[in-house]
Order: sequence, then structure tokens, then C-alpha cells
Amino acid sequence: MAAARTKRSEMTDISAALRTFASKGRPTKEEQAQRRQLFQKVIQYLTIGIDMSPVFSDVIMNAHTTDVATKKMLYHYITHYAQANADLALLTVNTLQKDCREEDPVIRGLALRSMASMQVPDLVEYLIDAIRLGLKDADPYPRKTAALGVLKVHDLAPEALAETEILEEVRRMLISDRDASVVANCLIVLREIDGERALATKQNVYGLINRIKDFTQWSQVTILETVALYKPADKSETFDVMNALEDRLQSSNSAVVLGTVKVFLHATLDLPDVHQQVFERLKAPLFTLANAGAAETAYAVWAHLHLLTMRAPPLFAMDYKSFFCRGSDAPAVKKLKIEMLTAVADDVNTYDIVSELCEYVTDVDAVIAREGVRAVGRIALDGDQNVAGIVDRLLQFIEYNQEHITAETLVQVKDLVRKHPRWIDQCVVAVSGIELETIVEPEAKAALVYLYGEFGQAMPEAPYMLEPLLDEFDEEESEEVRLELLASAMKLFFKRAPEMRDMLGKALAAGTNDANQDVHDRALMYARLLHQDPEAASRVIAGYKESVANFSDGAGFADKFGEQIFDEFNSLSVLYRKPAFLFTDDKPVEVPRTPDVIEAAGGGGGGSAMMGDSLIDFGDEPVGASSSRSAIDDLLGMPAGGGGGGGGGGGSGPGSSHNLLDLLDVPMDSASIPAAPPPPLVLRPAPSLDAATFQARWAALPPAPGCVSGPRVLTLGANAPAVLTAPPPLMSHLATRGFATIASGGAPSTGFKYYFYAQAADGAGTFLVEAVVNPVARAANVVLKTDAGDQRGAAAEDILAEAMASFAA
Amino acid sequence: MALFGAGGSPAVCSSLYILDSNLKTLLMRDWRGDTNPSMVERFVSIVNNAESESELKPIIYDDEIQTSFTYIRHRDLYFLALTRTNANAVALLTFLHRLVDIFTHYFKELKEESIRDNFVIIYELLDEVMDNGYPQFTEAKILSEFITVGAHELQAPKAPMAVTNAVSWRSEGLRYQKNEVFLDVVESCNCVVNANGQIVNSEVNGALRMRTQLSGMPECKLGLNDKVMLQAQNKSTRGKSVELEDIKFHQCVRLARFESDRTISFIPPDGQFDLMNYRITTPVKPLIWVEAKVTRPSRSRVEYSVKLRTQFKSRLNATGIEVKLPVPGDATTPEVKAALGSVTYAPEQEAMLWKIKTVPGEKVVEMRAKFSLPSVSALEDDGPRQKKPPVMVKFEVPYFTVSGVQVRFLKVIEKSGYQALPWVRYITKAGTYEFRLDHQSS
Repeated sequence: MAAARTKRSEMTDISAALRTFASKGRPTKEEQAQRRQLFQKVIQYLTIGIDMSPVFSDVIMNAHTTDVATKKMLYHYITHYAQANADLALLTVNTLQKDCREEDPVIRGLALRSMASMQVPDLVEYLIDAIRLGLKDADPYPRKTAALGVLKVHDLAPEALAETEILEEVRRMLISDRDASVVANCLIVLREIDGERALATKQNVYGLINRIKDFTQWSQVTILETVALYKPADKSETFDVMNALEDRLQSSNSAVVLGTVKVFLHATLDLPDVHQQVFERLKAPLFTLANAGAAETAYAVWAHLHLLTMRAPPLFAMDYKSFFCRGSDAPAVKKLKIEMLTAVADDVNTYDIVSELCEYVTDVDAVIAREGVRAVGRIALDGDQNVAGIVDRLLQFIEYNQEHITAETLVQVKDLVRKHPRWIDQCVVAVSGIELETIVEPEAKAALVYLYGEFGQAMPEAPYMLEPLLDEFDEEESEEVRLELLASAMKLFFKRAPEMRDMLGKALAAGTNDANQDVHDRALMYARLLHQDPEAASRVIAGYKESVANFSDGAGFADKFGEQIFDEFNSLSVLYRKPAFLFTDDKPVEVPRTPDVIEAAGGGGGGSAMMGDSLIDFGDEPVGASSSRSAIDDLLGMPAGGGGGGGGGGGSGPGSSHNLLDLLDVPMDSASIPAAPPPPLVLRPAPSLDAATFQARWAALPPAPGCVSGPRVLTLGANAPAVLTAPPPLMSHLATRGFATIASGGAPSTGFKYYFYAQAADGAGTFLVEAVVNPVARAANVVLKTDAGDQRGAAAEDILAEAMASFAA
Repeated sequence: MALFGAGGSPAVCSSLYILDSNLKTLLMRDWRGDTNPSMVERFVSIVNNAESESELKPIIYDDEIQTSFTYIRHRDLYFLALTRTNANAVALLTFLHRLVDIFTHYFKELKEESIRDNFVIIYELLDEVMDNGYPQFTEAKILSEFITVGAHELQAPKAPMAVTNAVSWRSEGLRYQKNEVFLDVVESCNCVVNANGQIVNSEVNGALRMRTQLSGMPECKLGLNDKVMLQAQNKSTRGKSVELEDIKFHQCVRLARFESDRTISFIPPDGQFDLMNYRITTPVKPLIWVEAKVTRPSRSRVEYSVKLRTQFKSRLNATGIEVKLPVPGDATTPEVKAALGSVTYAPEQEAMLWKIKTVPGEKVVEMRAKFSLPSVSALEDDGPRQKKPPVMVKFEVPYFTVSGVQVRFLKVIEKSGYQALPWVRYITKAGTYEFRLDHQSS
């Protein structure tokens, strides 16, 4: 209370003092100094949050002061409280108008800026007059202030502004004003009012580029934004623009450098070869910015480098060492760098990258340690080159015996064996030593439970590891783990029925009473399945698992908006990895799709799964709500190939239904019992493979037995010379035999060249074929490669030979 | 506020807040009227809820209020910019740093009190450096000519000539009794070495750092040795050489002139600035090499054996060497033997610091240290292979540059004809210098 009273009495004192000073016509020097101090006090109170508006009228009575320091404070006060005291604010108009004609240009600018900042609608009329005057001022300082004032009028009363000639004047000044700072502010105003793209005309852009050296660095940033929206007409114009701006890459202001980078990138979008050279040119300045300067700015630059790297990983493959983390890097920067290291890994640098990533796994920061594990896992998952060493490294992490590292490793191992079945044995040995109770995180726990269920036949202790968890099924908090427990208990039951019978019974009973609907449904489905037809249950649950070609991951989102984020280069979008319309009031903008840099850049090298086109998860693994529900639908009488479509979360309609068919056709013992005789090779009717994967695998695999010492020559049917005048006929013929075409070319005179591929119907093997066909000689020189082993390779060759022979027969 | 434009929204800073160490607002300036102080409270709670400061990114988006917080820290102060558009992130961060530079220039030491004591001048400065959310003019030297601390003199301030001048970085009419130019060639080495002695990362950042006290509008010409000049022309030099990459010049350097006849000519700003920056990524032999062996003779003992080798010519010296070695936080009773320098144990940093004033080149200096460990941690230590932070090294090598950059001449010509004294120094120092420890050694 006392304090409040003091405040009130002090306010009265200030008010009285202000009035006294106001009444003095010609204050002495000393009085002026006292008044200045008084104003300082007012501003200080205002700053610390005391409402000083009660003395508004007393303050404006001092508006006629000639002391510049006092005047500045007075204007600051007025602009602060004007909106709340609009009527009183009008009383200052006379003084402000007078000051707009002061001899000193600084005062003229100050008065103009203050008047514009008051945001009082009744003042607009006066403000427009003042701006008119200011725009014609002989001194650039009031002119540049007046220019920005136009924007403030526009915010306040756009109609009033539209009725005047002021905008026309600003447009004229943009081209003709002598002073760079005035031009820069005109540009700012028109960008907001006319729109950024409307400003990017040839005339404006050329005028600004020619004078760019005259502008301050901040103005250069605005100019570069405008230039980046300009589309040069042809290649030579593109080069002109870039040549004129190249020295901006040497600016000491990071924003100028990035602005220039944006111009270079956008100007060359339609010229893939130049675009690639531009990447090379821009690397050095970007790395310099990222490695020098303030940590915050460095982070923002790394985020931009991350965008570029993800756009074209092969172009940064040589620079992988620049992505190595330093102890002093911020965690956010380390995370970006680790992601970039994962993306740029190729045949040459993978060893170095993985070695470096292993260093991070022991980082004291658990988040970074996990990123390291994840990155090694991703490289093992994506790479087809020297994966062996990488898998060893990954599995070694388990020996570190650190909870978070083991947990992350398990998640990676699970994905790895789902995609690359050849690592199953090694992985199973490595994880069998882990004690389930030491794993706490649901995702990791579920992964380990999955491995027990899937490979329980090779892990003697698997049932006993699951036992405590199944016994205390109700106490498991995570439904992800509970679902996985049910699935694993089921799978293991078909492998080791005597040991599992009681446990499974208990688990299913607990599951059918589960409060969670997915868990309940899953348990019920299993129970009914077993009840109805144990044989069918065995085929469904423990049937052969097809390896997953590509995992869908979060990249899908970035991919969807990738072009748009790239379009918004040098903005917050890049840091948030979202286009602006998702976090501002902007409307979504249609961005035309531009040619893929990867295509141009990648050359022979493998593409990247980060940018992969088809991200369909063919997994039939019963995790996730929707897939379990659709599985129940299927089992409860819906035709297998029909209505179930569209079910799976990641999987698309045709994928999942098709898959289910496969499952039901394959005898359950085909894969789970290693000793069983190999089934005859049946090819999938409609195989699928993307070009990048084809390329990578083709490079990695050895030729099949018949082709080892050179291409095997196959004979075509008798009518081949007549029928085969262009590549398609043979393609459509082979398609009926399960060989799809990924590329073809050539002419009748030189012969045709094809690349085919096929996949085993049971998923165990992909077959890649290069065929040079001479129609006249009815000969096809064929090289076949496969990852399915010699036996299947030979079988596939036979199928192909038969197919060729029956062509045009 | 209505936003216009077909190509996204214009990039602007809506408002600026300066917060103290307790995240209380010291001062704020609103430019666009689309933000308010209650938004800052949300920022405060984000910072307070973060487990550690290091996990916070310098740019944070608050979904609920559709507002971006961009901030930097300077000592105890937070400089926070609010934006509601898709702003130019790098420009905003750079602007905030410039602001700190300007305030530091004005108040010498920028801290909480300097903000509290200088509200008025800060408002004045903010009015000049930003208008309507757009950065305007951020050259501290020039600003200080027309916005003066105290504003005691009653005459109207001089017109801000350079604000709209062609030579925006220098104002006219400067006078010095003694005209001097100081040029430091500073090279800062970054180096990361793996536990097995493999160099993971090596890079040198170089700068020609100038400080000028020159009257009038002097025309300066700088001559560097031929090797550097040839590289700058992208012509390869013969033999083994260290290449300068990505050379950047201060805006005062006439780039056109440099392109045509390779002279670095310029009218310098007054005071301190970086004339030229460059980078070297060619692997160079680390000037100082540290080998640290950490052994555990028993569960309750840990022993360090550290060798520091200077790998440069014996006529040169490394000075101000500081080796920071990670030590378990609960280690006690240090026993240290160092051939040179002093070793202090800093348990609060979980490290010991080995400081040596000077070591000549081509020398090896050794240090040994023993610590006791409490038996509890000794037990835990068996299984985990938690990594220790790397050994960090600081040092300087005066009169030496890794790049071999040499100043041949530095001429100052001013129409009044005075003689200016050029002072040139060379120094190489450690930037991020890390030697990783073998995590399996314990």
C-alpha cells in the first residue's frame, strides 16, 4: 500500500514538474538539463512497466522543446501511449508538423518516424502530408524514413493511401533515387504492398544488381531476396546474374552470403548441369560460415547445408569429413551432422563414416549416442556395399552394456533383419545374450520380443526369456509391447509348442481381457484362429516373411514439401523443415516440380533411400492398430484378395492384399525349418524394384553360375527377326513370365539392350538381368545376377531361357 | 495485420526483447504490433522447462501462438526477437549479434546494469538500427557519431553523414595526433584427433585483423607474398603448398581492383575490423600433439601419463599452453608430477588443467598424475564404457603462420600527406583443439 501511495504521489510530482517546465517560454540551460532528467525518469518508469499514461497531457505540453535529447524521449513516450490516448495525441500534430520542416534533417526524420509510428487513424491525413513532404526532402535521411512511413500508412489505412499518388512516387523512387538507403526502403515497402514476386522484374532486378555495392549489407539481403525470385530468360542471362553477384559470396555478413546462395541455386534450377557446378561453387563459403562465427548463426547455416545435402547426397560425398562432429558443437548441430553423414555414405567413404559414428556412440550425451547408433543402423540398412563390417560394428554396441545404447541398437537390429535376412544368424547370436528385464524402453523391448518370436527356433532360451513378461502380461504398461508379446508368443508356439502352450494360453486369456482395444482384438483374433483351424493359424502366423524392401520413415513429409522448403531457402522454413504456410498465416503456394538434382548428380552412383520414391512397407508384421484390425477382418470371412485393401498403416492397398495371398499360398515350413528341401522357384507375377536399387545391386552382385565366364547365349523363337523390330514386344512377352523391364534401348541394326528384373514369389531372391539381343541372329547374350544363391540363380536362368525360346516361336 | 505478396510473407522482426538472467524483461521495442509481452512469457517457460540450455535451439517455434523466438545470449543477457512471418533466420541472428556489438561498443562491458542505466540511449539506437522490423544501419562506429551517451551537449548532433554516404563504413573529418595501423595475421587452428592418433578433422581459419587510427580518408594498399596472391588467382603454385580457400574481404576492399591487378586497396573503417578472412582445409601437421594414457592399476586408482610434443621449428615458441584433461568428478587426492608448468585439479569442471607458459619447438614435455577414486564409482566403472570428454588444448605460437601468409608492404596514402606507422604481427593459436581419449582404456 505504502509503495502504491508513494508511486501515486511521485506521479503527481512528475506531473507538476512537467507543467512547470511547459510554462517556461525560454528555459535556461540549467532548466533544460533538469527537464531532460525528468524525461529520463519518465522513460525509465515506462520501461520497467509502470503505466505513465496519466501524465500524457503534461508531457505533450512540453512538445515545443528545442532540446534534441528531450525531444527524442518525448517522441518515444508519445509513440508508446498514442494508441491508448488517440484524442490527446492529436494535440501533438502541430509540433510534429513543425518538426517535419526543421532545418536539421535528423529532426525531420525523427518527427516523421514518430508520427508514422503512432498508429492513430485520425492522424492519417496529417501523416500523408508529412510523408509527401518527406519523400521530396533534399536530404536522404528523411526520405528513407518517409519511405518506410508509407508502409505504416498502408497498415493503418490502405484505402487512404491508395487514393494518393504516393505509391506511384515510391515506385518511381525505387528506380531513380540517388541514395541507396532510400531505394532499399522503397524496395521493402513495395515488396510488402505489391508482393515480392511482382517486384522481381527485369528492370528492377538489373537496376538493383548494378548498384548492389552501394547498399548496406541489410539492404543487400533484401535485394538478393528479390533477385532470387527473378527467372532469367536463358542460360547466358543466368550467368550474367551470377557473375554480377559472385563477389557477394565473400561478404562478411552471413545473411548476404546465404542470400546469394539462394540466388545461385534458384537461377540454375532449370539447368541441371550448371546447378551441379553451382553446388560445388557454394560449398566453400557455406562451410566457412558454418565453421566460423557465432554458434547460433552456425546452427542456422548447418540447417541450410543439411537441406542441400539431403537434396543431393552424392554431391557432398567427398565432403563427409566436414560433417564430423566436434566436442564443442551444440547438440542440435551434432544431430544435423550425423544425419548428413548418414545421407552421404557411399561405397568409398562408408568405412570412415561408420568409424566416426562409432565414436559418437560413447558420447556422454545420450541423445547423441543414440543418434550415432541409429546412423550406423541406417547405413547398414541402406547400404549394399561392405555391409558386413557395419553390421559387426552395430552388434558390438550391445557389448557396451549401456541401457540407452542397447535399446537403440535393438531397434536397428530389428529393422536390419527385416530388410536383410542374410544377417539373421549373426544378429540372433548377438542379441541372445541380452537380458530382457534390463530393457525398459517400450520400442526396444518390443524389438527384442519380436526377435524372440521370429527367431525363437535359434534361441534356446527364448521361451524362458518371454515367460516372466507373459506371466505378468497385465503389468506391462506399453501396448506396443503387449501387442508384440502376443504376436511373439503365437509365433514361438508354432516353433516350440510344448514349451509355449501354457504361456500362450495365459497370455491370450490376459489379452482378451485387455482394456486396450487393439490388444483385445489381437488376442481374440489369435484365439479364434487357433480354435477354428490350427493349420491355417500356423500358415498365417508363422509363414514365410518377405523381406522389406524399403522402410517408410519421416522422410516422406520432408519429401512432400521438399521443393517448397527449397523454394523458401534462407528462411525459417529450412530450420523447421516445414513450408511457411504451416507456421504462418501465408497461403500455400504451388511450387512447380523441378528436375531432380539426384538424377543429374548421381551419375552411376546409387541413389539414396532418403529421397527414395516408393516408400511402401510390405511388411506383414502384426504391429499397429489398423493392420491388426484389417487382419481380423480378413480372417473373419472376407475374401482375401478383396475388401481388405487400404488396410495397413504404411502399406498401400494392393501391397497388403497381394501380400496376404502370398502368405496363404506358401507352405509354412518353407522357411522356418532350415532342413526342408528348397521349393521350386516361382517368380512373382508383378515384381517391383526402383531404378536406384537396381543400379546399386547390379554393381554389388556377382554374375550367376551360367554367366560367370561371360554372357550366357540364349536362343529366341524362329520369328524373332520379324517380330522384334523395336524393344517392346520382348518386354511384354517377358513380363508374362515374371521378368519386368527397368530399361531398354538400341536399334534393329545394332541390336537391343535390356535390363530386366524378377523376384521370387516367396520373397527369397531378386534376379537382375542384362540382355543384349540380336534379333537377326535370334541370340540373346544374357548376364544374370542374384542375391538368392547359385541354385536359385540357375533356376532363374532356366526360366529366362525358356521365356526367350518361347518368344515369337 | 494483413500480409501481402504471392511469394510468401516479407521477412521482418516484429519486436525485440532484452531479458536479464532471470528471464525478466529489461527492455522491449515493438515494431509491427503483432506481438505482445504475454508471448515472451511463453518463451520464458520454454527456456525454464528445458532440461539443459544446450538442448535449446537458437530458434524456437511456438505452435500455439504461431510465433518464432530467435535469441542469442550475451553473458547473462538474452536478446530475443519475435517474428510471426517466415523470416530470414540467418539475417535475424546476425542482426542480434550486431546489436550486441553495437551495445558493447557503446557501453564497453555489456551487462544487465548497462541496459538498466542506458534505457534512453538504447531506445535511440534501436530506432536507428531497425525501422518497421527491417534492419537499417548497424555500423557502431558511425552510429556513435550522432547518438552519444548522455547527450549532454545542447547543440544539435551532427548529421549522420555516413549513414547515407557512399563510403558507409567511414565518416569524414577524423583526426588523430599519431597515425597508426595495426595489422595482425591471426590463424586459428581447429583439430580433432582420434584416440588411435588419426587426425579426424583439421582446419585453419585465418584473418587479417586490422586496427586503424588514421586521419582523413586514407587510401591503403596491402601487399602479400606472391604465393598467396597466386592462390587468390586460383593459379596453382609449384611444390607442396598450403592452399588458402574461400577468401573473404571486408566490404571496404575494392574487389574489382583485386580481380584486375591483384592489389588489395581500400579506404579502411576507423577502429578494428577484419580485412580478410580465409580458410585452410589441406591437412597440416598439428603444431602440438598430446598423447594421454589413462590407466587403472587398481579399482580405486586412476593414473594419467601425458606427453605433449611441439611439432614446429625449435626457434619458435608456443605460449599460454593449457591442457584440459577430463578426470572423474569424484576423484580425490591428486598426486602430480609435471616436467614443466603447473597442474591444478578442478573437480567442478571434472578436469585437471595443465598450464605451461612457454615451450620451444621440437620438444616433448611430460606430466604424470594419480588420483584416488571412491570404491563405489570404481565398482560401477567396470561395465560401462562411457566416453570421457576429449582433451582440450589451448596455445599460441607467435611470429608464425600455418599458411605462410606474409605482409610485404602496407602503404597508407592520404591527401594531407602524413606518414602512418604500420605494425604487423603474426600469431597462430588453437581454436577447437581436441584429442579424443580411448574409451576402452579404463
